[in-house]
Amino acid sequence: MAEQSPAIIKVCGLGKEFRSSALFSRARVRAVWDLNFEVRRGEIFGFLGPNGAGKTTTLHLLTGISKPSAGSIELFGKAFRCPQTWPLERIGFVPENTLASEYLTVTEILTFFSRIYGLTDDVTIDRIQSLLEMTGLTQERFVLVRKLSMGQRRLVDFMLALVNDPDIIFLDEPTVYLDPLAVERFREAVLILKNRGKTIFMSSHTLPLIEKLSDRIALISKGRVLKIGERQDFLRQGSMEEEFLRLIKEDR
Amino acid sequence: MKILFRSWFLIRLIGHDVYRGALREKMMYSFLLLSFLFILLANVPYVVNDPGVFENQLPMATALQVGFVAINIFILLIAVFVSLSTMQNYLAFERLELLLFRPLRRWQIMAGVLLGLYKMILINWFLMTAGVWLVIVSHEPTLAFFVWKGFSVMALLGLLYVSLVVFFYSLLPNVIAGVMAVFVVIAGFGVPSAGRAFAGLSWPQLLEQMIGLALRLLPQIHALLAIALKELLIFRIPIAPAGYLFHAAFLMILLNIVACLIFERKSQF
Repeated sequence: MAEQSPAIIKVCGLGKEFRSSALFSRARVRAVWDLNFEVRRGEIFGFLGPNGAGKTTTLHLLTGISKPSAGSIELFGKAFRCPQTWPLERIGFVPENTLASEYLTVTEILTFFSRIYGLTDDVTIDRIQSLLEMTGLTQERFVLVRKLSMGQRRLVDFMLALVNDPDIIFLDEPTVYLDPLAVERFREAVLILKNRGKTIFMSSHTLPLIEKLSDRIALISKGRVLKIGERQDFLRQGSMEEEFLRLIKEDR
Repeated sequence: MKILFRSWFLIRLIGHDVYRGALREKMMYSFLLLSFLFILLANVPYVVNDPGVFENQLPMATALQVGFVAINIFILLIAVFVSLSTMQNYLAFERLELLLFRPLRRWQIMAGVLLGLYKMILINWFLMTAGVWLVIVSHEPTLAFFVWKGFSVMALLGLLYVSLVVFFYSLLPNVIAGVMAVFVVIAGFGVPSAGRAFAGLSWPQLLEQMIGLALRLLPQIHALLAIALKELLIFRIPIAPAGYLFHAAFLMILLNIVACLIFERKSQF
């Protein structure tokens, strides 16, 4: 199914440079460069890489948080250069580390973010209800965010990304802080979203998660793509962990 | 028109969230409590009831002076410290990251921060002024509405202090922003003295003009305080308020616009 779908994200020669943090230095540090890949509509795309490979930078570029230094990004078949013109209503993002307004309850914070999208009260109530059911946090809907466990807060982050019913969902290390039970619930939620036709771009260095969920995978190291292909391509040499370690070591 | 309404809606939304965050600052309540303790001292001239102790000044004048000093100090403290702490929490990257990919312009976030902090400072000003007013009306046979009029200059000052802190925070996102804001306020107190000091020296004309411009641009805190004292009927100061109030409001708007533009530019990571 996913193979026949058109590309919903198309990245060509994407690069991002940052100014060196050293004092008085004019040097530029390349976080990612010459990234080329496509993500097809309705697939779960695993974005795999070791720490510091450039995964979060790539996600920031794809979500319009950062401005690319080079290359282009096409979303929904349209090229975007300036973050101001990004189709922000149609994307959702779960950042790696978040600091949600802890003085709000789960329902209040979801309502706050849905108001940013200009959703009506009826739509907001329905959407919050369905998100709470999906993540299993219905009991905690009136609990202050600061009183939730780290795992539950992560699920709140997940709901915040879905509040606008986006077509593409970007996930950055989504299962960090989650216990195995919550990971299982998260996996089920991701599969529900896939069945609803959503495209999921999942960045992680947690190999079992990527292995179980992804249709296609890109392996990134030192800011560039080392390998991209179907999940089976990464399992030919044995396990995904073996393939991951082999490619990363070869790249050193 | 629709875009303007949407923009205002988003700014109000962020502003309310910032305001809720500011209300969680325990520091604010400490300052407010201290200010009330200070304001309670306004009762003293009525309790002592001996004009000789207060250099034959009416008890109401002494009470107003106590209130004036209390509000003046605590509005500055709340504006600087609570604003700074709220901004450090609200504009932390981990929190901003949740907002930056939403259909929301970056300047709207900063405008919302300003609105939320304004709301916080106005609530504090209202409570402090109400404290002074209650002391006065509990002892005097008048409703003393001029108290609100006089202290409204303090509200303007509070808003100006917040604008200064936000402006400096947009340049230097750390506690130095608060220090800079306090420096500017102190400089604003000393504008007339500085003007006189520079006028007595033989500077090259261009330098003299630049210093003159810089002094005129500084918030004229001395004049605003004089207007407050005049409106509170404490002193008969011959000062025309309109120009100074307009200057403060203009400066505030200018600082806010620049802060929003800087934030829009600097948050393009």
